[in-house]
Amino acid sequence: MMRMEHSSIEVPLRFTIRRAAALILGLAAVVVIAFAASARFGEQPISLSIALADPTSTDAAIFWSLRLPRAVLAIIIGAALAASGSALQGLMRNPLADPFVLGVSGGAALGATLAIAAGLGSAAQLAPEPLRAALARLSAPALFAFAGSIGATALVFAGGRVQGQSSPYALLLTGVIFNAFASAAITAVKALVNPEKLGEILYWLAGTLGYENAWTLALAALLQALAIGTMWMNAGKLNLLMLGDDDAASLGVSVGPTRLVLLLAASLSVAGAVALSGLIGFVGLIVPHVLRLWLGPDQRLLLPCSAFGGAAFLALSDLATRMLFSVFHTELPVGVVTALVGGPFFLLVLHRRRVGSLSLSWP
Amino acid sequence: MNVLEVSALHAGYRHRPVLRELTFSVAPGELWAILGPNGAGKSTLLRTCLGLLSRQAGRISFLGKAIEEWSRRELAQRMAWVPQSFDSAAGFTGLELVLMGRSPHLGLWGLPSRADLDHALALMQDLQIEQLASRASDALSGGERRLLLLARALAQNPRVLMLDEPTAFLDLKHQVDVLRRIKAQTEGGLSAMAVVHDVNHAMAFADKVLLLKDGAMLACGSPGSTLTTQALERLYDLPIASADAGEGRKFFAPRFAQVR
Repeated sequence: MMRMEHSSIEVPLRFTIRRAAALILGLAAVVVIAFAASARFGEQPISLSIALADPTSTDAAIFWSLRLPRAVLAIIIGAALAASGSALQGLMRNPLADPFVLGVSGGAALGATLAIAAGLGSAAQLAPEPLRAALARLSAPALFAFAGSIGATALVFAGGRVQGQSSPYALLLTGVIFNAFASAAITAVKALVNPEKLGEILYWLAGTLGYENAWTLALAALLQALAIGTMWMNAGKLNLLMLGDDDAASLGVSVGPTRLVLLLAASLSVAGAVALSGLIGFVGLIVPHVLRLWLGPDQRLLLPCSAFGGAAFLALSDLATRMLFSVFHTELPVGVVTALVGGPFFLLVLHRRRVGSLSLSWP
Repeated sequence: MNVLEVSALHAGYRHRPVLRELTFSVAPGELWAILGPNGAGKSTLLRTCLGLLSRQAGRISFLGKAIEEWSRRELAQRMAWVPQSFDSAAGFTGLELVLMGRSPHLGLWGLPSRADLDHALALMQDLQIEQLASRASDALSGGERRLLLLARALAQNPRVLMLDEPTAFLDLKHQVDVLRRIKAQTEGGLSAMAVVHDVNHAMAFADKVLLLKDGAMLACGSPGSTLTTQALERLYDLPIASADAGEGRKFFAPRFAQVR
């Protein structure tokens, strides 16, 4: 048998600081391009030079108050969904896990549905007088969706504890059951509201990117930076948790607290995303999956790359929504596009993957 | 000083106590074989000593300090576990898995230094599994996974090694190979406790044997004095014959004629 001298062989390590930095910079460049394209183009052609030179022009109005905020929102939501999807797939040790698996989608949808059904537009309508001005710009469905997803997550955590320990399978099952319950409750509400509100509810549920103000976008970006940062910081421990709880514990991980921190960060990230965009499916499922086939399972690499990949994917999907359907003078919810594009693409990638072979030719 | 001291230990699961009144101590450099029928509590004993399962009564002292006073990380720097298997679906490569054994000694992200890398690769070469370095773990045989887990545990540089059936899934040559390697480690000062099913392995390699039946200790001591046909017949409820295996050792086998 040939003996390899390990000082001379090329060490097949998929995670090195150099490689991670190169990949993250590369993907960041892709995000910048996707962002620029998403901000530049749309149904209405605009001139960038006019938009930048004359702040009173129509082009400037479209660019600054429509294109730019929407592109920023796409980046934030895409990063949140894909990063938390990657973390949850690892935590649940289940490739089918997605950001909505822990009841977050059901809770958010139920919250938003109730807000729309009650005719609440702005959060200020609920607030006492002194707070009204501050909350005037916060949409009530967004606030209700956020509260609903946080409530649902708390409920699923409580229900998913088996003998005092949170087990991935019990969490998964409780989340699925809660989502089914929420879906039934939403159907009941839909049957009771007038057609106008029904349309609004359906549009929200399909997942859309709207036009948020700078204050909301900054808050969302801060929340996601904290949540994704927390997940990334714990990515080394997440790798060990993917082997099994006892394995992780025997390798020095405090399993309970670590899992709780990761679950909370992922849930907060998803809650912050769905509050602003509704349920945009597929991003959190396929982006981490496709990247895992390319990069391997190491979350130290996969998690940040998923964030960048998700951001670029959603920004481009949103651009497609605005461009492709303009002939019909309508705009599809971006969630429909991510599913229509993402589904077949995902199947293609899975189909082409050679089982058991692993690409070791990394950049 | 003993590495591990277990006294009057009771442990198990909430509604199912498994271990009863176990007392023993493991000295540095000792290789212990734990023998007993399925369900006797062998794995439970290992997992309790590793702190993965909490005690119901009694005391476990590790390196002079009660087991619960060690943090998970401190414990992982000194005690390693070779489980029966792991969730291989994650798809890490062999080298990535072995390097995970270094993580208790590394920072938050578990970034290995060149020395860690060399250590891991040297261990893999020593176990003759260097060809698994870049292979994904979901494309490995049970035996290859077992050797990777052993390499991972050794990468932790532990004082004690806990092995749950280290020879399961291995062919005869690799069984002996693995036991030899563990023996060589214990001769270098490492202590080890291994759950084994082959009495003859225990006879050949162990310094001490612990016979466990229904969660209680049936016998404990040196293999030569503890492993007798009478003790083994009681342990397994099976008629057992012995023969001289040379080198002053006995060889045990079930009496098939009577079993039928």
